[in-house]
Amino acid sequence: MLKLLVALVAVIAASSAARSARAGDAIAISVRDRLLNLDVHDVDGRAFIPMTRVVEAFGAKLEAVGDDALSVCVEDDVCSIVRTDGTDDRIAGNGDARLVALSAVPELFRAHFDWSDAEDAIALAPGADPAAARIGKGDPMPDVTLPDMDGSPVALSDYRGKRVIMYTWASW
Amino acid sequence: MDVQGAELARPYVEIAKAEYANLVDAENILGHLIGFKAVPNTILIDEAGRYQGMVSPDEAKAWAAAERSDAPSSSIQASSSANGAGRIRALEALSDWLPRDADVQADLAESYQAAGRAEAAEAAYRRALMLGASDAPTHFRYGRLLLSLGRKDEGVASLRRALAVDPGNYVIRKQIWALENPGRFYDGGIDWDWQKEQSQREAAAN
Repeated sequence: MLKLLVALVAVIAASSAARSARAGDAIAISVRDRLLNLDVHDVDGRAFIPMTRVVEAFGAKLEAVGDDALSVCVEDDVCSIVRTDGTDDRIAGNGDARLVALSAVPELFRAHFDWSDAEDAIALAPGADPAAARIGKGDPMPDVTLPDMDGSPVALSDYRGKRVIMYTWASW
Repeated sequence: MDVQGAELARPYVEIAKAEYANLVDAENILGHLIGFKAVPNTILIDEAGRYQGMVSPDEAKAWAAAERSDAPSSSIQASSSANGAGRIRALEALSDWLPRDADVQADLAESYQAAGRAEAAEAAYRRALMLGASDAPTHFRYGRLLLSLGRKDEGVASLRRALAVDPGNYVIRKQIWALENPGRFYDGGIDWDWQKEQSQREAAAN
């Protein structure tokens, strides 16, 4: 039984190692025109990066909320809450060694992934991902771009500064 | 809002002699963004680029005509990444770091699709689905891709998976009806009685 358990642990460890091929490398991410080289840590096969460096780069505020939560505020009234009691899979570690999941950075810091030609690196641009976010009344609209009847793209930003009414209909 | 593209909508646009821009949202981007599950809708966006809800057409006219002395400046930022090469490049790099992230693969698939790279889009959708992507928009957009490639049965099957996740979504449901029963929609008008009966049949079956 012990041999079986050891073998099982070995298989799980091997599987984890295979999933973390990039752990230990540094990822270059441009935030606000500043290029950060962030150490990548493997946590359960997912890529995590140092949270304090991301907080600094965004000029965000990190404050304790009770004993087991933190607020992450990118502006005074734009905050997210993360739990620090081990139940929140977006963060890992503690204190200055706290890590944030790379995949959770856009959500927590109200940004979206883009590409910086200047830095030739992944960039984190402010605002929600135009392709993914669900918005509510009063939220900024992303720059939705749709083709017209002839296939030419029309962007909402083409109507910047004007009131826009979009009437949706269908042939069905 | 037509998964089959502009041509089925064109006769209505021509009859209306519309002077405003007519846009084709084949991927249901607005539906996923705002959350509506049926059409028609009238969507308001103010001068500052903020979504101000959905209202009746008459309310929209009054809203458009209302004077505003405190019009805020627009906050809509032109996005180079929305459908462009920058977004694809970023997602490809992220895919290398997050190879098991279904959302990254789904976003990559959508970006390839928007860029007209159907083969790469299909591969990325398959990876996303294999990794557990199960949201209605991913199934819907994959269905739209397959339909655009002329693979109607596979496309409708993907739309059906989208509908299974979001059964109250009539933007999806009615497009499946239109694809499977074009004679009820495009041969001299829409058969509303058939739609009502079909809705009752599907409700009874569930």
